[in-house]
Amino acid sequence: MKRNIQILFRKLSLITAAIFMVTAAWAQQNVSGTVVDDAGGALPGVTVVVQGTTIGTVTNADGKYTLSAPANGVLVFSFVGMKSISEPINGRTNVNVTLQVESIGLDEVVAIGYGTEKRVNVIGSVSQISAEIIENRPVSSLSNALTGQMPGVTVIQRSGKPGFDAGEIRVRGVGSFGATPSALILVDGIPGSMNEINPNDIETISVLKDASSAAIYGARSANGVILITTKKGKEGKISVAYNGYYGVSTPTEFPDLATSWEYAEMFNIANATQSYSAEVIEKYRSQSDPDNYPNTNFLKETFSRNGIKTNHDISINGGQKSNQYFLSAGYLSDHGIVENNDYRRFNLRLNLKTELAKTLTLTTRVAGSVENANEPTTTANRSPSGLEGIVVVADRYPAIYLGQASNGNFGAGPESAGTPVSWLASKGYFTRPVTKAGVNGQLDWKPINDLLLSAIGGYNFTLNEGRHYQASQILNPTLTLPLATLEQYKNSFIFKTMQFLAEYTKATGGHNFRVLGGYSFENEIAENFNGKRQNFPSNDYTVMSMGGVDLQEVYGNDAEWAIQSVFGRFKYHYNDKYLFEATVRHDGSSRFPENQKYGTFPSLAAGWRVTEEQFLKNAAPWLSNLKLKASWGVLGNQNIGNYPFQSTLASGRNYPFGTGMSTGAAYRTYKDPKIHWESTETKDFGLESAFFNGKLSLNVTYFDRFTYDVLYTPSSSVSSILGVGISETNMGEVKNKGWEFELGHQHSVGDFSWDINAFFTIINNELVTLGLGNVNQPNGMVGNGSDLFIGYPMQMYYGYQSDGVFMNQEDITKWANQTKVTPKAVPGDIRYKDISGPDGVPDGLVDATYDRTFIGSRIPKYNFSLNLSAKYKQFDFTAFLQGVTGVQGLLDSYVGWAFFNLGTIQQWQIDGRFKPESPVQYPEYPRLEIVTNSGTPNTVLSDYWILNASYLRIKNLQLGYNLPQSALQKVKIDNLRLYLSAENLHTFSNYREGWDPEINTGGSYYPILATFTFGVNVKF
Amino acid sequence: MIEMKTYMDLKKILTYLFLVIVLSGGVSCTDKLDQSPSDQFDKAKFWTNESNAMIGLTGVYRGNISYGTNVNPPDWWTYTGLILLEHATDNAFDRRGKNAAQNRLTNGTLLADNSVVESYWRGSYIRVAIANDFLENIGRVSMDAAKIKRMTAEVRFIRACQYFYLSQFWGAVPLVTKSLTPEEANVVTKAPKSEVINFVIKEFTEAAADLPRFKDIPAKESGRVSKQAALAFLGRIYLAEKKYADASQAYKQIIDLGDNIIDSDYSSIFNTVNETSSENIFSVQYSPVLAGNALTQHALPANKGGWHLVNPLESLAFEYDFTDGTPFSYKDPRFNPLNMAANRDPRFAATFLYDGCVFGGKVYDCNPDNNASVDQLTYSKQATRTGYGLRKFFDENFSGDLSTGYGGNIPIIRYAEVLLSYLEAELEGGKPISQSLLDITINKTRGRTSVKMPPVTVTDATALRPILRKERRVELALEGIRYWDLLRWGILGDVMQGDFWGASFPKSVKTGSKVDPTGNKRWYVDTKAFVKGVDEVWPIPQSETNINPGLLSK
Repeated sequence: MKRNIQILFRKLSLITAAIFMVTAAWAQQNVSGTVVDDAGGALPGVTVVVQGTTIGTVTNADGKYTLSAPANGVLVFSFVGMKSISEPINGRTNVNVTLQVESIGLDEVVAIGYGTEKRVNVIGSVSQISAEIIENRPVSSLSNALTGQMPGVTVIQRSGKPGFDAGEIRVRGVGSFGATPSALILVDGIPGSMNEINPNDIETISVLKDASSAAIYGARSANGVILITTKKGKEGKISVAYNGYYGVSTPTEFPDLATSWEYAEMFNIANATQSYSAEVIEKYRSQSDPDNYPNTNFLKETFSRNGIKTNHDISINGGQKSNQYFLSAGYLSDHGIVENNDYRRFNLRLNLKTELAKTLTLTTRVAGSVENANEPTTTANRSPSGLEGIVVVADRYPAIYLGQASNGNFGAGPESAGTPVSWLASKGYFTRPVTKAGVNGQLDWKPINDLLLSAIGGYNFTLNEGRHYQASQILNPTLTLPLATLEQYKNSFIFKTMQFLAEYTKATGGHNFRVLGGYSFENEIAENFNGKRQNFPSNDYTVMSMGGVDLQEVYGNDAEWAIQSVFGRFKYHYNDKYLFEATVRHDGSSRFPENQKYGTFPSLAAGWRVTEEQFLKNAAPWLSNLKLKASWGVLGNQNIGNYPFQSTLASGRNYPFGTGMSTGAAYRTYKDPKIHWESTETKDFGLESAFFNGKLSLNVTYFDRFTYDVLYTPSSSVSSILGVGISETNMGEVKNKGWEFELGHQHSVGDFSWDINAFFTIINNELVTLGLGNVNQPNGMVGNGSDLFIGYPMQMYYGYQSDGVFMNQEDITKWANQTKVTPKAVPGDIRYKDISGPDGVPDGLVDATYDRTFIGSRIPKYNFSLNLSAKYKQFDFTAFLQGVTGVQGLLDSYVGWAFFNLGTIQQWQIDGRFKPESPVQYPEYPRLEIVTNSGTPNTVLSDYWILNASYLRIKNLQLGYNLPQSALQKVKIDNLRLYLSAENLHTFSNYREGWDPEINTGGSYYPILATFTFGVNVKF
Repeated sequence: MIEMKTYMDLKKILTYLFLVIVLSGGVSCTDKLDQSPSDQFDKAKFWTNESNAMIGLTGVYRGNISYGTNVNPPDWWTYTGLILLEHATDNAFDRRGKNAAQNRLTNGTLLADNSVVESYWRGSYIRVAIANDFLENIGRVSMDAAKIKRMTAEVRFIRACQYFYLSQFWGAVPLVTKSLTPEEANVVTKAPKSEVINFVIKEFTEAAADLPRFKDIPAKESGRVSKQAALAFLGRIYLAEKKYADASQAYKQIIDLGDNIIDSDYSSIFNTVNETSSENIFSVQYSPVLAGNALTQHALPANKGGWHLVNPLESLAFEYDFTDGTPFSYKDPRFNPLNMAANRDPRFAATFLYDGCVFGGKVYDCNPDNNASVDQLTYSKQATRTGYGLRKFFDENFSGDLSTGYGGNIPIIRYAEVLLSYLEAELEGGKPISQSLLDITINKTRGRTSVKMPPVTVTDATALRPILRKERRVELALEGIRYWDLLRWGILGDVMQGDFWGASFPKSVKTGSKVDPTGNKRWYVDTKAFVKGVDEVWPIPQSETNINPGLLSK
């Protein structure tokens, strides 16, 4: 943002400077020179004035200037955003200077709801990042570029699958255990998402975190608002920019699965049988007959290649005063680490600003994207299908099964249904194209100087399509999988909005007023349709009409929601010193019943810029900025289903009487007829400061978010005696309190300049009450008995505390009676602690009633990151480190437990297992046993399995080189930068060997990827 | 001049404002705030006409049945609910091993977090809630009173069946007969077992009076409850309560109605070929694709792509006599380990897959020595653990999608059970047993054309009891009734003890992990140690007492 504002001002100053030039004709001596910035780049548009005169000029596009001046004069070089320099001529005819960037922030403009505001005058908590931060990051989803970039904004990425690798964004903790606690994302004021947008189109991303900044979006702002502003056209000559990169990806972590002979040996131990004889094991080990005694690592066969990521982006920018345009086209291609798994996206955007009349401006934005995600799938008759269906088996099937024999035949697998190897080779596919088109227009009219009237209209169209063909396949001469199925869907969404705004601004004698009023209406209509056929005669004809007709299925439905709002904001500043703001929004939503439709969301904020006080200016000149601020407000959340209160009989409860199906419907869900808005009361106290002319800055914010009337679906808090599911109801309260720290430092020494930003966020998430689910557990905890308890964080694990394993029979006898959990304990079984009993003290009996407790949460308590950037002559370097701590994770089922449901075993389980012959009290893995899909006494949830998911990641390293201007000028290029970047380069963690700490799974997953890229940025 | 300019501006402005409004779609705003779902029925408007009432009734029949593969039984009346319960008995073993939830019901490791116990519990109350809602609203529909009466009886029957199962396996449970609010549901208390039983008896009795006879249910309605079905369940609860005279009376009514038969062919009544036989009094209805029976996925052998979950035990297989009615013996020369069905009760071949048998055009090869076979008997493959597989219920020509494509029904009540139960009620009730009684009961099931086992002639009660129980076990094998039989006979704890074995492979090199003490080289399967006096009553699920600790009270 800052850079763009600079460029804008640069161009404006060119115009003003032109006026100077007219009056500067009568000087005495010609002086010329070049003005560069601290990176050595030419600075066009710098004003050069002879001190005490009106003589002056501006630098040209190459940063050069020439003027006539007295030989003993002093030249003053000034430029917005840079520190002015006074340079005595001392008789020289050539005066070159380098301008330093001025302390950040003071003149920075940030995007706020329905407008912009100077950074210094913002009272709310708004974090903003600009294009530079996200440019050149090889991420497909914008969300992952935000990780660690803003205090209070947590992004957790759970998958690396191309097209489906978006991170989950949470602003200041997890605000609700009911309605989805996700931020409202607005792209140029229109609700949108992070995934389809081209990161190169973005000018700024602004996150509104507190009540005063977000309340203008009332009903949907409780969990933060993310404002994405796309680039605008700029007056001036046409500028063309190209950005491109090519990168290679590999998993950050990869589990080490047992070889076939290790598996066989371990299986014999686990099953206490000689299922695999020594002779057979030897055949596996020697690999002399791999067709009959194979060693197949199905996971490696699945994640078999390096990913490749390519991005090309071209934008054209320019225009006259009356008409400015920004046109961009982007292409992203992301090849996953599985064959036939890729994601492609084309983006097109045109932003136009037209001055229709002196007082009338029309901004038109047209944007569209075409995405397509492809993945392989299983053959029919497998559930789950798709890539997940392949992976969940790839980390399960032991290496003793044949993938593909030397003669090309595929192994039948343990179920005669093939293996990941054969499925990957099948003709099946799963493709999911998404088409989006959006247009919005904004008409701004300034009938009088202080009044701005705007009308905004927007229309977005989304078409989600899917086509899933599961092929028939000949595995080998004796085994053919005959069934082929095709499933296809088309879901369309039409979103419309209409907004009217009026803003009146008045400034008199130090008093500044800004009053905003508005009306907004939004409506979305969804239409879904899908069909399925089986028995396709050939894998070459995979259109619906070619399928068998006797077993076809067709479904369809509609859904719609609407929201209508009026809102207002009043801002008052006195001498830029005392700041005050009040906001209110009144929302009506189709998701709430007649008497509960409307909600009102107010906020108040006040700020004091202490450094504007004269006494402080005198007393502490080193203090360049100090602002104290406080805000309060109530925000809403309605992120639930479209029809939460309408009491219905569920359709589709059909039953086959006779030979045909009879239509059926049944009471299946309890609905709360009095459901209303979920609300979050937010308090925010902050301090912003800068020292030594901005060399050092420190911001500290304390926030207190209290969510009540949580729109919770209390399924696990309601007895199954109710007999039906339960829909959202307003119950429960949750608190998120915490601190955000931002520490910045920037400086330069000679050609070397650097900029360091560190963020640290502490979030305390705590459940206050569950309403209906407040069950007084006999152990004294109050909660739903599974994952929500008063006084504990959400997303928690509730289970036993362990104390290693039983060493021997004596150990079992001496230990508390554990038969209620482990009816027949043997050495190597997990030893659970007897922590309480009916009298509140250990009762000698380990049971579910008294001995389970809080053993962790998936919500990170501490988030931290460090952004380092440095420049030296033509080189630039950035390092970005990010981490979380105070967080737990769990790997269970196929990837946590050996021999789970016919699954394999991992190396760490082999190495760390309890060995009866050399027992240790605290082995990494208990005794080996065969685990069914309903678990064993050792797999009940206990802290034995809870992992420390803290990590520190080298999220991104980037080294850039700017080709010197001298070389570029000849080819008429303004700027050419080459860079190397490494994303997710390395992670420090104590998580499970072979697993990325952000992965929480039972089997189906896609590794988080590390990407190494080479890129080019060109501007001409 | 100025006025003119303003006018021009205004015109322009209006034009652009118009454009913007057109862009925004010209939608009417406040009306749009009233929305209702398009794919569900509005409860307030639903109970109005007969066709909707029928839709609601269908929903009661559907209950919580879910199609496709089920890990845990979503409803009693599913393949998982009925057939997989055999894993808790001496009839079959769950391929997933000793830790499988059904196995843990009876091997001495039953705990309150057992997923099957929880699943049955949940499914029962889901049906109860759907039924209660129906019963509370059907009176509002304006339609023929006779139809309302029939529908009401059907729904009361279905609800009573849930309490039948709940009372049998848990004893005292909450007796919910009206729709609850979540607050009410969270604090319900248990009704004594006797109260639940009395409720069930009353409901079945009254439903039977209002239900149509089996023969009066047209083919297009097959699957709906008949008078006979209600009487059969009434008989079951009387048997369990040892009210033998009442049980006899209930069963006698069914026999006297004469609508049902013992079908001449034993095997085809369990699959799509003859599932509508009038021997099947009441069945779970399945239909290909839209309401598929995923037993095919779960229990077909590996060479058919199935998961081979159901593994009949040798203790069941042993019960199949030689064709002349003499008890089976490994020492007998008529036993052929290479063709185990030879010279045996024909129901053996109709019930089991055994080594070397041909099924669906493929040889079922489970010889422990054959490493190349996917169905090899091992402790590791996704294949048999006993040397037997499930044959009953399958159409061997089926080739569709294993998890959704098979439409074979599963019987809940068969006329064969009615006859055997009638004999049992007479016998246990101390009535004299006559040959004619035997001939109209046990000898009918044994004597059907396709079975043709010699008639039973023992009339002494003590001698007849084991014969009857054996016949019941063989005739109703793997239909999901064995667990309840063992429970009410009071022998569950005695039976579920010690070692269990699979098929005998006298000629195989590879042996099980334990030597067969009888010298018959049977494959060792598992050892059970039922906790007598405790495990007969299922614990209230932990997930339930987490929410309502009050249910922990005795």
